[in-house]
Amino acid sequence: MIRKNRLNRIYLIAFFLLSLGAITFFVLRALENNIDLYLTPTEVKAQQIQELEDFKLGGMVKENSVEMLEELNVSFVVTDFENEISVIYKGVLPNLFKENSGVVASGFLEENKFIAYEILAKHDENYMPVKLEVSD
Amino acid sequence: MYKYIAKYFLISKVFKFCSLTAFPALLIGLVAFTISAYFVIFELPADAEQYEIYRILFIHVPSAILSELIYIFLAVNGFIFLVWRTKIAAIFLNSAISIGLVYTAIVLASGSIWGKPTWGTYWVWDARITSTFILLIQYIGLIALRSSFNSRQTADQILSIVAIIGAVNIPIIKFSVNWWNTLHQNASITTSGSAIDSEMLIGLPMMLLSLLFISFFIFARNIQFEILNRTGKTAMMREIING
Repeated sequence: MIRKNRLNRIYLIAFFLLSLGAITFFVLRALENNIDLYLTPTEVKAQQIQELEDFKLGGMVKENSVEMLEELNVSFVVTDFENEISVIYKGVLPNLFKENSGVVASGFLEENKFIAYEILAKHDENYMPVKLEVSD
Repeated sequence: MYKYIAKYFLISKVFKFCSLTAFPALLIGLVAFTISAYFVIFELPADAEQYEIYRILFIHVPSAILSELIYIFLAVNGFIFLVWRTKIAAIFLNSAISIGLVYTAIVLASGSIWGKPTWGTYWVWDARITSTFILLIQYIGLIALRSSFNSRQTADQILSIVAIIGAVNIPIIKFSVNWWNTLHQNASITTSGSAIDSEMLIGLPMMLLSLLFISFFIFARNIQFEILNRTGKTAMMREIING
């Protein structure tokens, strides 16, 4: 049999942990928008983001949308399969940047186009046809 | 039930067990690590997209698993110490902190090295990386806290409480990639199977096991020093240090 004072301490710790968990849950819930690293095209459309306002745009690079322009300029379309935004970027692309693969771009909107100054390649197994750790 | 378990964890028995098993564990660990390292570096096929850099996975993922498991271990021992006031739980807690710190540092460092060629950046403040960074700070905090009290009893109690509080971060690390938009990819190995090809997957348990053995050696030695420290047997300590 477990002794009464020990049982009381177990209850105390359990209660303490539960309240702590609840506090953390609500704090994280409230900060959700700040914790997200990027916005999807649908969120960008819904949030009415001002032109020239800095943010990160994330999604998939649309198939057959990547166009290499002159002088390291590249344009492509980021899609979340509901909405899409075209992106213009000048610079070196990361190795894993390619069509039908995840991307996170930092930049701003100008005349409904996203002008990116940094492009990061993302892996997301959930909607990538070629998975990250596939050998063949 | 507590009595039946407790009799196997008498301080003298634990000390003896540690001195018997520490060195064999190190030997097995080093041999296994050498074999696994050779295997994952030279034998396994390169990845279709990332080519050779993906091999960092085999140090990154086992370290990540260990950094989180060790923290859970700390919290469980803190809980046992607070409820039953068993000294051995406090000794386990104190002995495991430094190992967890090392693994968390390895996770962040290896992830950074992998991130530059694949993502295009060493560091990004997304939910997974930030929460792991917080775990690193938690470990550093525990180590700082450990030596901040005059009384060992107070130190153990505060350490246990802080360890339990910090355990809130573990599910956050685990589920950060599902709850928020992150640059870090989702878990490859889930209950519905593995997204890592079976040919490559074998490297993970191999590395994990070898690291477990090596960590056990450090853990066992830490326990011995902790026990000697607490009982004040300096002559015996000198004997161990000098072999």
